[in-house]
Amino acid sequence: MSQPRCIDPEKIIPISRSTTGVFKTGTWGGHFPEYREKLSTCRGACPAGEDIPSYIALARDGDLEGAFYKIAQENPLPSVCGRVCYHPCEQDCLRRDVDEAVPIHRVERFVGDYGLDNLSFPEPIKSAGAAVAVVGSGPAGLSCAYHARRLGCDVTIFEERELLGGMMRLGIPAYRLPRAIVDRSVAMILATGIKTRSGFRLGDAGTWEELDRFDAVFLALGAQGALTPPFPGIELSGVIGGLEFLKQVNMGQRSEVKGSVVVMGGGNTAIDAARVALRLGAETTILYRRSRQEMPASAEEISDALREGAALLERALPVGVESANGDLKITCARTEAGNADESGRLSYAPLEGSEFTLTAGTLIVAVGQSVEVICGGGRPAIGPQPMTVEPFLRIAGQNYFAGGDMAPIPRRLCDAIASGKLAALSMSAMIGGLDMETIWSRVNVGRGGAFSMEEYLSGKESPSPRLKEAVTAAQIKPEWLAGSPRPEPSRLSAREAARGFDEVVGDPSPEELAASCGQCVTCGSCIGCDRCYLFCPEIAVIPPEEPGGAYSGNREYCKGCGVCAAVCPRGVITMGEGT
Amino acid sequence: MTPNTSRPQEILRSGHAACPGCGLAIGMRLVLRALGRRAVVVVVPSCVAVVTGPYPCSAMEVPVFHSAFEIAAPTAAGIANAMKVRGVNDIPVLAFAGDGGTFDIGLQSLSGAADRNEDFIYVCMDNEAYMNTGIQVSSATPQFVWTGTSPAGNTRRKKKIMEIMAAHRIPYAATACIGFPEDLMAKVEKAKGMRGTRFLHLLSPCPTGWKMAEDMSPKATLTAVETNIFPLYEIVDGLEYTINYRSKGLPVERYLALQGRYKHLGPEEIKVVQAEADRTWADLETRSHGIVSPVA
Amino acid sequence: MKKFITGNHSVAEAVRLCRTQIVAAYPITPQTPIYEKLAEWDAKKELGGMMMRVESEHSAMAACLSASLAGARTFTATSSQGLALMHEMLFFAAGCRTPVVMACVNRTLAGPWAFWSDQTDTLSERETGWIQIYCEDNQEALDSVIQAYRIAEKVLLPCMVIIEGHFISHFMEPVEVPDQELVDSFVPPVAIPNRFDVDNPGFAVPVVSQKEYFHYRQLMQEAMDYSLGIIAQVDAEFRETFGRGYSLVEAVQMEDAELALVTTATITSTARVALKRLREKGYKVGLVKIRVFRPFPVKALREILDGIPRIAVIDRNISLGREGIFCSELKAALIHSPAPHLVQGYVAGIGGTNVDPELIERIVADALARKEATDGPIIMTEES
Repeated sequence: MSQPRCIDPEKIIPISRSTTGVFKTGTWGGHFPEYREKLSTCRGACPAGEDIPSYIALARDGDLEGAFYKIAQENPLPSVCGRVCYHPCEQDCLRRDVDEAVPIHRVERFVGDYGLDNLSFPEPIKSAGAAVAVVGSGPAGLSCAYHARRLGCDVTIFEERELLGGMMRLGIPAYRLPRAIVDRSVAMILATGIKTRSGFRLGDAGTWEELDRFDAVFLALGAQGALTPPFPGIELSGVIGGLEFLKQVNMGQRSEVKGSVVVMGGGNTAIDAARVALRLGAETTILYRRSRQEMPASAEEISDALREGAALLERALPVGVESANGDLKITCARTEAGNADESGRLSYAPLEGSEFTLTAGTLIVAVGQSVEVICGGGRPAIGPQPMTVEPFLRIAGQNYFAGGDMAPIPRRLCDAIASGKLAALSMSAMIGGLDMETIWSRVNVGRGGAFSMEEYLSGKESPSPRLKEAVTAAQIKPEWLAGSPRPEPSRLSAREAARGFDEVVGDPSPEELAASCGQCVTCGSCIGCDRCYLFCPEIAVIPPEEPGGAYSGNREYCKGCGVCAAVCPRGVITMGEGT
Repeated sequence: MTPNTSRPQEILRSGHAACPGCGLAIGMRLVLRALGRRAVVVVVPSCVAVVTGPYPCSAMEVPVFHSAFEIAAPTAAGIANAMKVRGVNDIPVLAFAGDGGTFDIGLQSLSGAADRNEDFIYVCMDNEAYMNTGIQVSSATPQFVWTGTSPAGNTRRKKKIMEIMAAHRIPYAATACIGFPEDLMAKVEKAKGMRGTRFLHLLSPCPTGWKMAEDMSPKATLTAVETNIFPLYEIVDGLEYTINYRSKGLPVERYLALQGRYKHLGPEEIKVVQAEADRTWADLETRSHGIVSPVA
Repeated sequence: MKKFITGNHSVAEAVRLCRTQIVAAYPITPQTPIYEKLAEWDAKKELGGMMMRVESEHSAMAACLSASLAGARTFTATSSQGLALMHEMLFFAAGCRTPVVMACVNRTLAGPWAFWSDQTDTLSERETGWIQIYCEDNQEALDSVIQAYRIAEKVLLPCMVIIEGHFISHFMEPVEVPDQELVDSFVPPVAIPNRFDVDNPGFAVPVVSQKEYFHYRQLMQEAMDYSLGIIAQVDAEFRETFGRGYSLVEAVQMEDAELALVTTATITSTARVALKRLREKGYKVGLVKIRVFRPFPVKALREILDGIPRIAVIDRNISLGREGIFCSELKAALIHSPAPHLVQGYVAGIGGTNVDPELIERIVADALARKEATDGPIIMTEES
């Protein structure tokens, strides 16, 4: 029975049943969100181009295996780097502007050790049918061998000594890098099917010829010659080069040092030598010609040395040595700063009339290394200067490549590892007739010399935006970050440390790992946190269909307010002029 | 990377008429998302009603009633009671009201409903002035703030609405804001699981009225919490206080500097604001016995 | 069964018998005994439904209309200041088309302060869209509340049943309180539309355009017109079921009347006494009781009053600046009468002052003697 309209419940009061969705508020705004992942600054600073935000996020989520293999895409030595890399990543960490840098190296160490304990590197997937030789088994050589093997090459490492490891074994003392870590790291790399030849000293009869049968050769002999300052008495016994001293101790050939020790130099070799001398029971003084702030060694190492009891005399250097009653009488001078030299550092010259004397049993001179000269005979000439190489480490006109300390790159562990990786790619490209420039534009990370092997092996046509434009401090939203103090690693006390060669810095605990990972903003990379989606007042952010996909703005409704960009702590979303 | 594969259904719809970047709209979205589809919502004259839409369009997926300005509370109570007498016990009623409709003209009816412990969730969307009608001062407007009807700066202090509600000994009262969306949604969830009068005080920034850029609402609320101007806490039964978040205790300047409505403040006035924030936090710590705990 | 009860108590009985589901009320003299009686039954669990002991009349109506929109049968009661406080809500309840039933106990409005009967409070709400029924005695009060639920729930307009403060509210009379079964047969189970369906959600009572608003107001006016028929029909059914009826308008001895005395509410019962005396004295006077004021029963009044040369209207109310409201409305209703009337308005009983049969006789005498009516009302105090 139909009712009159004036009492029909459906007609007598207004009830809205349509959706406001008919109003296309997208016409309101002049801006529109751009979803674009960016290069994290940490990765941009890492010479090896490790995908740091990814592996930290994996570790944070408990996927240590994933984290390890993520690092291993670029660097087969995370347990080593986590202990002794100078971590440029942390210096560029944007979190530094907020409170403190993420202790990336601690995460790398934890993940690396997990890998050593539980995992192995995957077998290479293809064979390139090429054979490459790697001469030298330090970090550069091992890295090159590992990556060349991944690229499908048949790899042989030639090493002069019995044991592999290069400076990791010879130069870096055990209290910084335990021997077992070196042994296991090397073994893990070799287990991918790499052949080795010990006792091979390049330059000996037949050695060049042996290398001729390879399609490409990577030279990573290091810089094992010592630079010697020209002051009188340098040849006296009791005066020893820093690296030589360390090698003797590290190889078990020396377990004591005569009398008190004076160390000349300010780099890591000098500091290592000083700390080793302390452990051998010697009263130790470090002399550096410039100021403490200008010492090339890492600040942490310098602090450790001083905590352990070394004395530091800044702006002082030996100018002459004499033998005196079985000891050394070392004449020293104060220095004053002059103009900058070609490296940009201020040059310091001895001050007239400022001489003073130190008496010591041993003088350790650690003022730099040179490349040992090896006869070429038509092959590339080696030493004492670093090798001249083309942009991708090839020696012009030859199938020889060079990297590590013998190449004109910074003499640091991570740079060495990076050069080994680059050489592997470069050799592989040469063998396969591929153009490195073309490859480089795709795989290069940021604007520096690093590249991503993972990117190369992915075979993708266009480079990932996460390799290119760096995220800026302004794009990180520190207000959304919980303040958390950077966890302090456990350490042996100075007294305990100086008693022997046990590792000074302890393993990260799971709590430390969690706290460290928790500090990472994962800047530049989208982690699917959904904040842009959640905060949009218009519900105009479209989340990805699959996890890991991109978020986008809905042009029908986006008013261009910019809230999505404002709440993205990672700087993935920025507002652009909307069209 | 943690993917988000299951998202609750959105109850707020796109196409509504809120200003771009409206903090109140974000708050409504989050509240409604946690509330879910099986609910009845009351709106009253305020920005909330404008967002909910003009005839014949609605911006909500749930049944809504647009009641009168000062009666959000008895409206919700009447609906809740009607459902009870009709034997429906599992559909919560949630009322949105602005600060005007809560602190001023609606205070009496809210007090009465709270006193009777009527069964609804009341969410005060506090943008600290009458924003729907322009920008006019309310008793929720903080001291010194510029509004159209306090152009030389508000001389009154903000009413302590949480303490007023606690004085009624309602089962649950809590502050919340969009800067802490998980906390906000957890509080709505928690309220849903209770009966009686449940009160949420949501700081809802208005870029227009607060004179800030359109993208500033989330950060403004976050900073309000971090400076102790708007701490996050709960009061159960009018007696048990729980602080939900230990703020960074940032200086109030960090908050004031974000908004043009505070830009005329001089150092003496800033000191007053700081003292107030300090006192608020100290008082809260005393009442909560120093316990800080996220929403349980 | 017959009970010797007050008008307030009578109203309460009807509310209970109609199985009202939600009562929201606030006390005000002279309404309070309605509230208290319901609360007494509620405490003994004899009421059924829920009571909301609200903190103001404004909230009482807010709660009632909201509960009504959610499909519940509701009731409230108030007077004077409380009704005035509800003013905004009365428009809202009617505009939302809620079948709320309210008992209004007439009381004068402050200032100054007084507590006795005067109809100005309810008449001031004539614009709101509520149906208004003015009762003469306790029985009619009870019966009108029962009828009100039927009417309101049929036409979906709220209905106020109006009784005079003290004269009805507090005076005791024998009242027939019907059995629950009988009332159940007359007032159906609650079938009020529920506007809040989670499975078919809509946004009820949003902002509309000018045109749309006009349209809904037009529907309300149509509903008011329609309710004239419904009120008459419900009353006729009531008469069949309960044996009593009231119509919209009652005419007493109007067949040969030369003067119609128009009254409402309790003055009507006094006028019945006066009418007897006047007839005994030979005056050809008849009585017209206006029961339903909104909608205004123009047709019914025209049928009775067409051809009656003199009409005296007694108002226990005044619209200050003009005259008694029933008088004004009646004059407007008669504007199309074929033959002109002399309509004289009298304002008496303001503030609850006594209107006795002698005063009414004086009014009739004056009305009969007039050559012409005055524009404004003649104020009839007890002394005049």
